[in-house]
Amino acid sequence: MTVMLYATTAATLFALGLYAVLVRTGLIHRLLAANVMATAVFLFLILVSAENPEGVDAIPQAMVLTGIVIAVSLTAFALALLRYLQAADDEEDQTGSQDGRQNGPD
Amino acid sequence: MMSSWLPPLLAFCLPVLPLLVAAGLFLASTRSLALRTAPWLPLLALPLVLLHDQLVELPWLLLGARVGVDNTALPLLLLAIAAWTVAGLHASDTIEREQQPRFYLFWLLTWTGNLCVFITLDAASFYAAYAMMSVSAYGLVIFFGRMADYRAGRVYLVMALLGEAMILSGLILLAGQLGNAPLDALAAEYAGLNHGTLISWLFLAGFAVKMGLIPLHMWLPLAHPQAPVPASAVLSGVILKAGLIGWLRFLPLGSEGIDLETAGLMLLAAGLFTGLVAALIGMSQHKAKVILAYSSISQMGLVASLVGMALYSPENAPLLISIAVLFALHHGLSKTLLFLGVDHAGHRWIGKLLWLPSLSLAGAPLLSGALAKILMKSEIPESLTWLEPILLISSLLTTLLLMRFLHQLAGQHQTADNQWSRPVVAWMILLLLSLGLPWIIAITDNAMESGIAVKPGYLLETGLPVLLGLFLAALTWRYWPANRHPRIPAGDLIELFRLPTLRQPSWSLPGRPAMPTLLPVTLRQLDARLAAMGPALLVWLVFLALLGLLAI
Amino acid sequence: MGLTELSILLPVLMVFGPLLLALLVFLAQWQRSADWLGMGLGLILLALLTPFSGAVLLEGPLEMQLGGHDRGLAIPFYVDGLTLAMLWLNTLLFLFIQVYAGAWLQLKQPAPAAEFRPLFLLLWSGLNALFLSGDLFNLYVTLEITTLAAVPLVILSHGHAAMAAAMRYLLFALVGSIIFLLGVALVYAQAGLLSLPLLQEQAEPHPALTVALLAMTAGVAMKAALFPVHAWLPEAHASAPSPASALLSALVAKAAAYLILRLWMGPLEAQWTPAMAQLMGALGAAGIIYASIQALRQTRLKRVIAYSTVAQLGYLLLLIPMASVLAWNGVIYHALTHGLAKAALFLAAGNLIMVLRDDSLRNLAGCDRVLSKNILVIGLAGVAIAGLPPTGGFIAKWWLISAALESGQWWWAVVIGLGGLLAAAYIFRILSYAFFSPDPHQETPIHQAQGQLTRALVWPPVILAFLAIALGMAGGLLAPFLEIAAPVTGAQA
Repeated sequence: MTVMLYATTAATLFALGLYAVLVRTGLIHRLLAANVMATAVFLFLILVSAENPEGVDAIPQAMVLTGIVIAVSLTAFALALLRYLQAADDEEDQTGSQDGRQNGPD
Repeated sequence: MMSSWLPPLLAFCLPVLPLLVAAGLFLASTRSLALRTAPWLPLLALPLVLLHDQLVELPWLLLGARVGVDNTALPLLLLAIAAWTVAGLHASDTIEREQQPRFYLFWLLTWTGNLCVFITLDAASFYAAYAMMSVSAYGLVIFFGRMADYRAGRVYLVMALLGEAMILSGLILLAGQLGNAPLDALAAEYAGLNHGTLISWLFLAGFAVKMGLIPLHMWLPLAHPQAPVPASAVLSGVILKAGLIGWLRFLPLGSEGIDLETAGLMLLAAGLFTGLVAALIGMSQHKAKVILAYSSISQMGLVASLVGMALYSPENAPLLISIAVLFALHHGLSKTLLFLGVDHAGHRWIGKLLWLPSLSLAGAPLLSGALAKILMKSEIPESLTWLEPILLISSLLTTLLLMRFLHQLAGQHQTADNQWSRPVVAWMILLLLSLGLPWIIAITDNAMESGIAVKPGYLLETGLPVLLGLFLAALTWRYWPANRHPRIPAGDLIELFRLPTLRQPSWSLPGRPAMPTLLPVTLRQLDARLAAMGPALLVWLVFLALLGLLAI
Repeated sequence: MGLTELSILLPVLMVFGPLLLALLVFLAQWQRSADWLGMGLGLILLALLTPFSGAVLLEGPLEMQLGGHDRGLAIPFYVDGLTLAMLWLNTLLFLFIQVYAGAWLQLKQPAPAAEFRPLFLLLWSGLNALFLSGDLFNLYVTLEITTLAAVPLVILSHGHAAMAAAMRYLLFALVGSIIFLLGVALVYAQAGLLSLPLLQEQAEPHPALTVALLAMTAGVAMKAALFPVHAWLPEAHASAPSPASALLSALVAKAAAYLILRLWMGPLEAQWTPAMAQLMGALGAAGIIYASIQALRQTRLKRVIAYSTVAQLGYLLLLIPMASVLAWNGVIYHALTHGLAKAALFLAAGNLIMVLRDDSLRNLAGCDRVLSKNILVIGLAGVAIAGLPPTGGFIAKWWLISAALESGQWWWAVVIGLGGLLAAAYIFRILSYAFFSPDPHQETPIHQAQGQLTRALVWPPVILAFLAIALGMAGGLLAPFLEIAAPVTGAQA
């Protein structure tokens, strides 16, 4: 029963994240949604670890840790990039130039 | 016992009568008479029911027409007559007087096609009727002549013709071996056919366009809401079922001679996928009629999964077909009521009574939807028990979707009226029919155990997802900020192919439908669409789902 | 040094050499000496690769456990013919692009030198590790390292367009990596294994593994820019600085496509049906045709080349439906030729941009007289990509078409032929702008810029283009190497 609960939660989280990635257009929204998806996968891995018949399995836990590090670094990088992009946008708005406008994000 | 001259007379005259009236719309002397009779013409087809279990051959018509009303067609015929009559009366009150001749012209042509689709039993007449229905319905879709109407009509026409091309290819392959194939015994012939599998696939895909199976559904959320309300009602309520009858007539259902287990499983999976995904996409819609259109796609997905099950296990096929038809009948009546209710939402009684068809579609106990769903569940083959939770989820999603519909409808500006006009009375009669007719059909069919629908266990089982849905809907209603609702454009995948600017056809005169402008989608625009995350990922995931289906 | 020591030393050196160098350069900020160190490292690796390849040929595929753990745990390396080919390509390209980038950074104003070199070295390490990894989770980690090194390279050519393109690239990569990780998790949940050789031995057909394969394919394809999820690539690769474009197009996107082949051929072979393989092939074919037509429509040089990358990556998928030794050789050969030729094309485009300040095709008018070597590179590399004899592309297409006919799937032969014709069309379109539309107004900027291009900028693309041609003579020589432990059956090439 508990297994089903966790599995359902993970599936729901993943679906929610995927839905938002598909539907939302804001960059921050997309980023958050992708992180929700990542969390769902981590939850699933934890479940795999706990359900090992020979006691708790350490490998999925190591995978989750590594995965978190990677997700955090990608997110941090994306956020930094987002700020630069925002700054470039503002600058353009001030100078009123239209260069590069056609390449707006999404 | 009927005399021998009556059946051919009925079989020929009743379908031709609407065409005569349609012609009468063009003569000044007969116009007002034609306009007055037009709404009632569908009702005049009622005597065709007398042809039940008979086969009338009209060898001089087309390529040798065969007409008859078998057990499969009877419920659909009744549905068509009821829905078209009520919707026609609705149109006579809501469509402007000077627009009515044009409206009823397409209305009657589409009706003739739709009627003949249900009663013809030979391939050539069926196809002629089917094509007539599909093409005439274009006039209904673009009736108002707005920009969006032309776009919807164009998408509709392109996809409908795509479907017809596939059906026609199948028919030609069939005709090469069987001539003008009789449809009442086609399934048994399949075993001896060359390319039997290919032919079934062509029919499967061709009629799937009409049924709105994802990803062939794109025209539906555009076309149905764009048409005038009565036309939307019959499009969603009845004309979709032409796809179902096409499957039932042309697929080798219940035939042991040909192995279509894979096709059945794929249809089953595609149907369930459609049932769930269309409901989800529908929830992100904002217009009441678009929500209803998505609900139709979702419900037709369930019907398609029934047909898939029938392909998968031929021994259960006859019963599964009856259940699919019953499901279609129930959906047709309820959906017609809901669509017509969009115009009547301000009415004191109808505004509240709209809950009944909504709950029925959601599958609330004792209503016709629960009957159809329970019968569906009781026939799930042993090897497919994993379907049951999916059906429960589908009930839950349908409840949420229809609550969203009622919510959006309540939010619309509406004029209160309490009059008992003719359309309102007709609506009430249709409501009574929708409550009773599915039960009568189910009880008179001895193979169906309609009694199980009222057992306490099933009452609880059908009630729970609906209650949960109502609870969730109430929570959402209370706490979900309305301006944060996600938005998917109507027609979802079609956005990929959309042109940014469309000129109004300059030569279109008011009051006359224009031909569609078939501009090609330019490659640059396609890539610009794919550069956005949402569409690209959506296409990609749909492709992978397709890939996954092939693994079965 | 014996062969055993060599087969331990080389993979470790390939991963950690560039990584340590990257750290060193980043911390100590050695700019000029970093280039020499990098070139030295590249030469050492190249020198060691030769006996290493021989050893793998003689002793069969190499499987080693880093840190001496049991089989199935920790960090295994796996080297077969495919890996070997990719390692050669990697080393050669990084060596030549290192030379080019050093000169390029000196001329570029303002030069993003402090950022470029560490990222360049990190990418080198990540790609080597990716090609060597024999374990699903390590593949995920190395894939992320390459992404984290590749996306910043796009931004280095400042400006709003580059940043927007990088952001889009990053989003696709991020979502792709999560979907990939989901697939990895499913594999572990079902099979309890991650090591590719073990999976190949032990995995039974199971629906969960099929779903896992699809999820991993979905994720990696978003990084490999396969057809429906490709649209980020032309922008990102066209707006990146030219040496980075060369790396991204020739290696990074290909590394992700390589991963798809790795998964479908071998470890998860039991999980897919022929119908699925046909559909994957159809996806590749659609990509080839679609992107080639898009390339024909572009007005900027780098975008033509970038769309060509999307098209050429489609060929790799054709291996899945054919799955014979001939197709295997053909696809690897195609990857090698395309890598060399595409790098040459982007480097030459970089030279042209440096002189012309702009990569509009119309600006190319009259270039043939003064920038003849660069135009020559475009011609030679283009011919290799289009697959005219006697280039490497010709051998690759020959093998692929033979494989298609041998397996009775003639439709792939049609696609390959059509793709070659379209490639020839977009290459000759570039050349026609350079040769046949003389425009007197374009003379001045070219003459002004004449003195700028140093030999270190001109010769690497020329050598790479000639290498792509030379591959055409070496088909028989290299085939035995490519076939090492090929996870397919059928006649030898």
